[in-house]
Amino acid sequence: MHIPDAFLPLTHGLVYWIIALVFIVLALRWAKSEMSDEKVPLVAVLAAGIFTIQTLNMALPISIVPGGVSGHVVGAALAAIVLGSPYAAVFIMAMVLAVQAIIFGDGGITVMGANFINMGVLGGFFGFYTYRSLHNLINNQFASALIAGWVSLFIPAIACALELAIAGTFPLTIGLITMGVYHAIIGIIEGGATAFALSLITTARPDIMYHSTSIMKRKKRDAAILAGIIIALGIAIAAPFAASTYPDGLESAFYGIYGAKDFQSPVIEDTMAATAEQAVIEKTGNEFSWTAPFQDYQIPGFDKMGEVGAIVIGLLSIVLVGYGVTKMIARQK
Amino acid sequence: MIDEVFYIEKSAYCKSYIHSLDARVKIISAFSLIIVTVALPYSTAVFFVGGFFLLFLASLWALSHLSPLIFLKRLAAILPFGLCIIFFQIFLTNRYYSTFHIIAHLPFGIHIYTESIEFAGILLMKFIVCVSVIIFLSSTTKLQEMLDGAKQLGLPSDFVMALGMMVRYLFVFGYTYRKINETFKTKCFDPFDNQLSYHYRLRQIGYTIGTLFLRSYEQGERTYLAMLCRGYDRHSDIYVRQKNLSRRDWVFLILSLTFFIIIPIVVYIGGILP
Repeated sequence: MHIPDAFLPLTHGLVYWIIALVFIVLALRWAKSEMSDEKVPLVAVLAAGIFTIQTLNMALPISIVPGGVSGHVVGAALAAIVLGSPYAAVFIMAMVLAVQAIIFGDGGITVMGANFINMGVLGGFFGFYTYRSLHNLINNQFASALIAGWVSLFIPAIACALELAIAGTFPLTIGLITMGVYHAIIGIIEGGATAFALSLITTARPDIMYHSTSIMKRKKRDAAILAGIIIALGIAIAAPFAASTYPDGLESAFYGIYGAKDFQSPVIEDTMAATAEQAVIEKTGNEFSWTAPFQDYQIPGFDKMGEVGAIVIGLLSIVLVGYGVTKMIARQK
Repeated sequence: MIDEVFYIEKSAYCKSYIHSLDARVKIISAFSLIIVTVALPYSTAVFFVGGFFLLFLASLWALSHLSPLIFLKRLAAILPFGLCIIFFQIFLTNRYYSTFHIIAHLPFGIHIYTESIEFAGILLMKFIVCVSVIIFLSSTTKLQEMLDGAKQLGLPSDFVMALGMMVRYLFVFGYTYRKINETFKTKCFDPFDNQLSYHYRLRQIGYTIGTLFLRSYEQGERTYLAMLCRGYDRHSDIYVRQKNLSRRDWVFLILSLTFFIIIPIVVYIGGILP
């Protein structure tokens, strides 16, 4: 999943770098405030451990080619869960990715920001919040870690496919399918290994596990919102491919009555349809019309990618509005 | 990958004109070359410019007295993911060309396009130049020197401190990794052995990861305590000896940067292209 140099234009790389730097600054702040400055060496040594963990390969659970293809654990979810903050993963992955890119050539320099956003930020945040929300809901550490590990690999893979598609170096649909399917399979390794590793850590050194029930309870609402985002993103990715291009029931009935469409056929006659719409305007006298910014769930000129973008923007807007309304109600109470 | 760190550092400890250059000079030159290569527009000119850059890197490699085999082995280890994306390009259309000419029809409606092959070639050239730069940089610069150089170039102290610690322990965990592999072999455990149940293999790998995590955590605790004993506190900073660039450092830096700027200008504007 490490994007190499030259696969994203320089301008894109710069934008990702800026976003990544914001998170690196936040992670440094977290390290100073939450872990106390003295413990920075501890996280640094842990980063070397995570780097080593990434070199442990094993066969994929489903044999794609004879002889097998290997996968390995990224470890962002594990670090975030044990240390009790997604910023732990952000901090550790920043170091791991820097060393991988500059010393081993695994991932590029100009695209390090994108790789960092994918594996560090998205991997850490999605892994951590998926684990915490699930653990709160089902109270099963193993299952929560398994799913969190899987999500922490799958979402970054989808983000990677989106970045390559925006850069024009890999088509969106094929990228989403190949990256999605491949990492959904590797995700089983990430999830399984995270769950087993976590069960070992909690048994051997329960003291190092981050525990805070009060924060867990207080953050339950956030966990629900984030779980919603995960589901919403899943729908957003699947929607453009699963959605039908045929008219819905109301459209079908309307155009059928006005003769713009045969009831048995999905095809709409454009000229007849325009005449039908004009006839309705004349009948009702209502000439009001409004062009939505993302008409038919599309961003003009962006094809399938625009559909994904429009849905993601829409869902994020809903989440933001929902969050705002909830806040207002809570304040009034 | 982690066991490579020993070989990389071994190469970095060789002695040559290139090895003795200041790390700052090599970092600036390397990153500049990567940025210039990535910034090149997608056109056939990339083949010429990239070719010149590869020649330049080859001559530097020759000056470093390192075997070409080291370079080739490292290149082979890095290429797979990038090559995979590049290979698929030949079957796909992209936004960088307005028309596509089919040169081969394959089953399931798959085609190979002339323009896509050209685009894949451009990507490959850029990719190989960028990767070669990194191989050159890491094979001729010690890790500690690279960190010192990065700090002198303005990398924040907090990050330098953490990276410095991490890099030191990479070697420790490199040995741990070898031991783990030896233990696996002693116990006849192979994560790729299909005769073992998948659940069992996953559990063993998971427990190994958990153990490694705990080992690194406990190593971190010990290191932290050892540092406290030596007077470490939140205001501690890694000491880097201030060093001015020598004349030959300046000469290398100016010549290389000039080369990276002049070559694309000559190729794109000077009309070297056929």
